[in-house]
Amino acid sequence: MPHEIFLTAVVNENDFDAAVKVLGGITAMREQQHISRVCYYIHDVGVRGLPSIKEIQKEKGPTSASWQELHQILLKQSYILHTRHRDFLDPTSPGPVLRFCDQPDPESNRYPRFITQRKILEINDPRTGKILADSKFTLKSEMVEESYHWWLNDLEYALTRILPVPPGSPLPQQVSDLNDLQPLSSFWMLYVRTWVESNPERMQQAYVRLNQVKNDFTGLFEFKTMDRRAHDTRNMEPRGSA
Amino acid sequence: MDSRSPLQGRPPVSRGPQSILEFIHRINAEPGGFRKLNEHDLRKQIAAQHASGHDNDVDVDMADVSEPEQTVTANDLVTARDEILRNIHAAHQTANFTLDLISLLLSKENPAQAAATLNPELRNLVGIGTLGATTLDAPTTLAQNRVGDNMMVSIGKRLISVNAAADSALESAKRLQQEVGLEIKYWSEVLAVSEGGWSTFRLPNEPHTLGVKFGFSNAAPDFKASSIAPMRRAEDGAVSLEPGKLVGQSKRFQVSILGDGEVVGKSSLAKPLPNDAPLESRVREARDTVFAQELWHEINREGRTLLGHRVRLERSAVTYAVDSKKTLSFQLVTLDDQISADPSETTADYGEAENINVTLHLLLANAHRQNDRRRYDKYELKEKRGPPQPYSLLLPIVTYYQHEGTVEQCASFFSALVSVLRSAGLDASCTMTEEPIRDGGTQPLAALGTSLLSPSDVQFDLTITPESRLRVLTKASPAFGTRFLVYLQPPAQADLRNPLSTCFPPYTQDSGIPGSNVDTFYDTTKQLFWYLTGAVPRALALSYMAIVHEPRPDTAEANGHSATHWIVHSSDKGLVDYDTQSFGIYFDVPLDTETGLPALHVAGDFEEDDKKIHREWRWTSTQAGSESGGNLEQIVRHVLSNAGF
Repeated sequence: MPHEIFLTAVVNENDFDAAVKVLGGITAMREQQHISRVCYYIHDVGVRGLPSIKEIQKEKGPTSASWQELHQILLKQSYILHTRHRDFLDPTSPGPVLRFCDQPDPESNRYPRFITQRKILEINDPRTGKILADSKFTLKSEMVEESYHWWLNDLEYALTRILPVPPGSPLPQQVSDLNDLQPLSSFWMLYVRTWVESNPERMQQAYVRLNQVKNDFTGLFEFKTMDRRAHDTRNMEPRGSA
Repeated sequence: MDSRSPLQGRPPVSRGPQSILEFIHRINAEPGGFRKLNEHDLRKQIAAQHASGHDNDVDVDMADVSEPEQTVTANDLVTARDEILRNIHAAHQTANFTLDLISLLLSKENPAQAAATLNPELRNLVGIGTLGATTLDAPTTLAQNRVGDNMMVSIGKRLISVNAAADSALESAKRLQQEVGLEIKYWSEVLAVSEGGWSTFRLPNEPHTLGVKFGFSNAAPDFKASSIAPMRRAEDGAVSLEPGKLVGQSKRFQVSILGDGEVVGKSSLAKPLPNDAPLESRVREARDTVFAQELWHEINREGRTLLGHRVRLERSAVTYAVDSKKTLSFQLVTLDDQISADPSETTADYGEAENINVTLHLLLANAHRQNDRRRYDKYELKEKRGPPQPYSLLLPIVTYYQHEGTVEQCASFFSALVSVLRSAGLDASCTMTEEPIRDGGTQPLAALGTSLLSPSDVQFDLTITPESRLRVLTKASPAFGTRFLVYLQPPAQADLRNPLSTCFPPYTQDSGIPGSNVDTFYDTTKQLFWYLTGAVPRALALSYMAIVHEPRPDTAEANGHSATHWIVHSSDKGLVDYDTQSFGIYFDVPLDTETGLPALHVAGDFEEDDKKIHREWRWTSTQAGSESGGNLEQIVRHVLSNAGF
């Protein structure tokens, strides 16, 4: 399972334009804007693992191994999963992608405090919605995420903002409907991310590169140390009898 | 005697005043001082103290003090006398020195008077008049005269320096003016460039110099490095662009079409820039040059992989032989006045070369766009890949030409086939349709890129007989060349089935999943023509089978023949009679060995005048009309009706 290693910084609304220009200049590319729909799913009480794992295994499709891995993880501990549908307003966009993010690894001496790393598993399967429903996952909440992306040398720079969808109101169908949604906060989050295989040398390379990024950006963006509980995705509700 | 307090303790036993100085001090300390001092009083005091005894400390002191005084007095006197003598001697010496000094000084001015006082030893030592003195700051008449002159000199000097200051200020003003003019020119050009959309920024290595980015951020790494140029101010204020090592002179890409070794078409070249062209056009020129260089580099890189497609790499050109006559040649040429002075021709070949040139540029831009997309495909945790795969620049062109050649071949084959069949009286036809290029929609550039990468498919609909209809799709692919898909079409009358579907269907492959067939291709024209030359005779045989089984009105009974039973010949390409298999009619579509075009060949064994005869008929595409062939249907009916016995 790959690791996602990233830095976090906060960008004020006022500084947003300047940040876009700076990031575009550094990466020598125009920003890519995406509007994504993020849905959070929570397991029903008492359910462990993926009950429909047997059928998935039988099919032996390309995603079966990933589903198997997810099943093993969910057997031990219940997590909140989320699906991300990139560019959901565009009818030609690919479907939602399921993502499982583990709790970030605890602080260690091998990497500085401002780097967060966590195991991550992404499954791209058109039957995701059906499998989740069969596995007794219910939709907990959903929101719209507006994000701008740049890439350079395997690092992704992303400026994101959450626009929550009030429960009960319909999902925006067009880009203009997004203006009705209020952003959750007056600031944007800047993530500098890389995904690496979970072996020590690749992760070490990633630490070095992220450190370099932090140094390059001193004075521009301040990368903060995030408490690992901010990204905790474990479902701590009491489990019934299995 | 002592003025010390008793608290200070007993003073150390002193030996009394050692020098006359101390005596004087002691006497001064007593009340009255020197004035009251006389010998008589002193002796009285001594006697009184001696008489009063030794209990008194002061008396003890006095006794102590007085005794040593008596013993040491003589020494003290001698010492005092010596000291006085010494001081007097010193004073005498000092006075002598002073006298000598003054005398020596005086000896310069007034030797006679000095001779009286000067020490003869000194005179011998240094001589007379060796020491002089002058008055300081005494106003001399010479100096008085010079005051006026000095004033004039100082005024003059001040004037000169003021003038010099004014001159240098003027000069610096002039130079500043010049600088201002140069800077205005420089900045106006830089501003024009920046407003023209080029991105300008400070150079990373030299923060005080501006640079402009004229390259492409998605190019190969070698070219990315040379994509920025510093803009320095030259002497005349114009901006000098130093584009770096790769971009020397202006270069452009050129495509030439050669027919039989001679140039018949060339793509156009831009005019070289004059030296005083504005900065923006120079930047654009640099960009065009680096683009052309990158195109040349990538075509060479790709050319190595295309050696199997008749692409050859030479040192200064890459050539692709389209067929035996036509060759395309790609070169990187340096612009200079001679080349571009050719008048632009408007023949079709020139236009074609121009089209190819434009297409190659568009394909490179497409490749850049794909590199941009690769940035985040790479992102999904891959290890470091090697250099990127060669872009497909020449390959689409090669594919296109191959496809064109193949389609032409097919079209001539089909038209020959149709004309042959028509000349035999059959109602055959063939239509050729090409898919139109789809509109780009929301992403025109990407759509253009994909449409350039693969030629569009061409479709042939062939009708041999009203029941046998075929559709042939040509699919061009870079890897396999042009391949063909053959489908059987249902006949025009809906309730009939295409007879070829049971007898001679096109090749299909069964995939594992029931209900769906994998498309299988006929890989070459040869295979396709083989299929067609097999399908046509069978279709004819089957269609005449139907005729044979029509109820014939009255001829059979009238002639007294029993109805002959016809079956399809074992080769499927003819009809024979069931009983003897010696009469029949056979169809064949051979290909002419020279032209490769089809001809229709019919052989019949039938009876005429009670003799079995064998006749053959031919229809070829080169014969116009139906002179030698005749109407096939009539012939068939004739043969079939005369086969009975």
